Amino acid sequence: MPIYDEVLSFIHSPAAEAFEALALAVFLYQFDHVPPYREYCIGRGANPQNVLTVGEIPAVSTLAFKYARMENLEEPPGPVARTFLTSGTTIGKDERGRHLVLRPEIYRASALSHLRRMLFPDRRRLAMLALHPTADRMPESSLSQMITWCIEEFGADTALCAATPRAVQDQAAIEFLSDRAAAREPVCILGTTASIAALFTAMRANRIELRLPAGSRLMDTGGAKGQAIPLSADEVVAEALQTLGLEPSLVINEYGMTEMCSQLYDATAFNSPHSSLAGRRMKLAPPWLRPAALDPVTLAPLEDGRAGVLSFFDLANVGSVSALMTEDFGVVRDGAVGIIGRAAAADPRGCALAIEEFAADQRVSDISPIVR
Amino acid sequence: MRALTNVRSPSVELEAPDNDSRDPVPPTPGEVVAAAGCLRAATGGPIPPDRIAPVLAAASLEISPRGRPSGSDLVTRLAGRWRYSEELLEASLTALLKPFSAEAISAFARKVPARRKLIGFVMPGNVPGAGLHEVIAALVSGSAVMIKTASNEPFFFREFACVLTAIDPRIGARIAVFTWGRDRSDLTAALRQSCDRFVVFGADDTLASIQSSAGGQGSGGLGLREDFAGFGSRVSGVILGHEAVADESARRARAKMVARDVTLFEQRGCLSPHHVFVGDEADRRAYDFAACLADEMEALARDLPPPTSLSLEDAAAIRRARESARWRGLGGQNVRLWEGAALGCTVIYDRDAPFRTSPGFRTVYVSPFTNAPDLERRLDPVKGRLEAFALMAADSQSAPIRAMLERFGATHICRPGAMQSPPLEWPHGGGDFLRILLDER
Repeated sequence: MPIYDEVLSFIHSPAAEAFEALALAVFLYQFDHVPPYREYCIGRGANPQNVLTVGEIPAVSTLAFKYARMENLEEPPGPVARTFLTSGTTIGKDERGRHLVLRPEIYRASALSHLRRMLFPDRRRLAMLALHPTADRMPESSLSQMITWCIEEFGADTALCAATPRAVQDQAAIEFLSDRAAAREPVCILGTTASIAALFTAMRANRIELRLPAGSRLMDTGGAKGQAIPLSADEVVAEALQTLGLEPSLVINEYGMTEMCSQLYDATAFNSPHSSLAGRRMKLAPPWLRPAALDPVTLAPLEDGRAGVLSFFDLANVGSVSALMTEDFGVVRDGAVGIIGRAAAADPRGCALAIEEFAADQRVSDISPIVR
Repeated sequence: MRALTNVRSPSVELEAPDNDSRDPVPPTPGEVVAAAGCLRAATGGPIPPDRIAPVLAAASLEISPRGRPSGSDLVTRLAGRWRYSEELLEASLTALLKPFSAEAISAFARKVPARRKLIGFVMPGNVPGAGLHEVIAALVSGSAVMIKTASNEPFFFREFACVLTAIDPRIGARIAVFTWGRDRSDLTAALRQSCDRFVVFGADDTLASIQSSAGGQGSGGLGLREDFAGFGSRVSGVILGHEAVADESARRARAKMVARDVTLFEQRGCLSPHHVFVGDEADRRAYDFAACLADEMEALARDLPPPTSLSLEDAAAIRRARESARWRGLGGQNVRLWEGAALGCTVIYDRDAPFRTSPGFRTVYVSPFTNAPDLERRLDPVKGRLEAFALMAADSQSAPIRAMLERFGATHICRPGAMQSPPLEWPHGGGDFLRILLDER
């Protein structure tokens, strides 16, 4: 079976005991097909002959996607291949990371499977409000693509995208939410932490507080770094309760990045028996994504519970590079991840940046309901 | 760069090291006010500057680490707190204290009008002893000083005050040292209100915050009131003309000195260079210098070992600088990375870079420059925020470069190897403090 199909099959029917062997097979494939990765591995003295466990597979900094072509250069991209771009930085738009996804159905399967477990375990179909542009408006954004798939898969008949690449349309969003509250129709809000913060700000400015129907929920991503309106994870939960009447366990933060086809989500009483660690919410990865905290000095995996640079091995990244080292640091305990912070001088990332542009260009009036 | 076999590999800590059991207890606001009264009283009986100068020189010598019990105890305590090696701290403090000879302080004393002011200092936590130039200048003028140290470095000025008192109690009565955290704005306000002049060292956000709480009206966080001097974030570098690295011997000699400038104080202070620019006529001189600097930094790390541990944030920042350089190189850009063992030292050759700020801990960038306009373009991002520059170039080239550096704000221009030893009259941070002291504004 081709390696892509093996990974897809694993995502559909994960078997923990098969992960290691498949990960090593994916490493072998990527070593052979992604030249900059091969060069990096050789530089670190690693090759498929001496790498015997997933922990020994050299992890590549996500910065690599900015400067090198971390993709299968031996297979021309087919018609379905997609290239996603990171947002770059406020001073470095020319240095945007690029992630070529040869088989988007693997990204889709990964994203939706874990969304189903973490955000829709109750199998309800809900009205959907996107506070980040959908894929038709921002095709280069992997988050846009994921939100679009989410709406298609889990949405009811009513949906609205209240964002363009330049602005959050807060009045339209408030109107949509007010209508759902009046109709007693539960709603799922999807967006970046920054765009959610913009909604809260607009609601406060207009002295609006809603009580969304039971079962309503919110997914935010991106965190507070580099935003015009910083909002911590705890503040998002508190504000969602105050302004929207959302149950804290239904306010769920996503951790993801353009360079990685799989995501992690907050474990809450709604989706998991996993407890928090020292008051910090832990995030759960899907079975095809293995997290580790690395010692930043030696790059060796640390024992459970010790803080280090977060890294992941993502089977769903089979077409590019699966072993990734992020710029975030945190802890991994029993497979769950606690995010602690971000390396200094790290660029504001992905979704976090868009709101800076939003803030500069508020009140754009083009509102286009998604037609399902 | 070869792997170092005799250099300790730093561990990584998430939390700050435990507090030293001898950490001072914060005062009450009333104690700050009372101390101000005592300090003012101590300036009541004038002491001529030419009698103060030798006492200050003796105190500087006494806290010097080499062979002095006070200095060596200070090094041990700093090393325990900061996890820096004692060897590194010894060399760093020795360089810091070098300018404070009796002759130099006496010469400075002759230029400073006699004063009987009370000057309050909020000291930085990045480098032990930072601010000593200003404290000595204030004392030699006849003023008294009240110092608030950073919580993570409560030792240096406390020791200096003790030594001063032991040598001459009358002059020792003109210095008081307290320690409290950033959260005690009531104490900072009491300090501010008790003093005639107020001097703050720290990051720009610290300055802005203190200035704002004290009612200042700064611009960009660094603006000054008549009685306020702020030392914010500034950066330093090195410029070597083409002929300064003309052959292997010259290259090696310059690299030794630059390695020392980078390494002292673990590159945490405003005098530590981040970026070295080398005159290059498309003949790889900058690249060769980078390779040589990597060797010399590695060699120096054997004598002055790197910290035994780094915070996770610091380690991650160095790792980020390395990975960025590595992948820019692998991606085809003209960038080359030399990595010391563990995260001990890092040299990054970046042909096209403008001035880059490094994460510290012996991480330095090297780039070529072709001519003065090219150099000016590369320094433009830090224009107005320069502090020190080591400069070595042919006379014809040196003068215009020096003029440009001064125009861009550099306050200490010296030869390689002397960056950490600015003279007593150094116009630190642009010279606001000196102007206050000399009443030029």
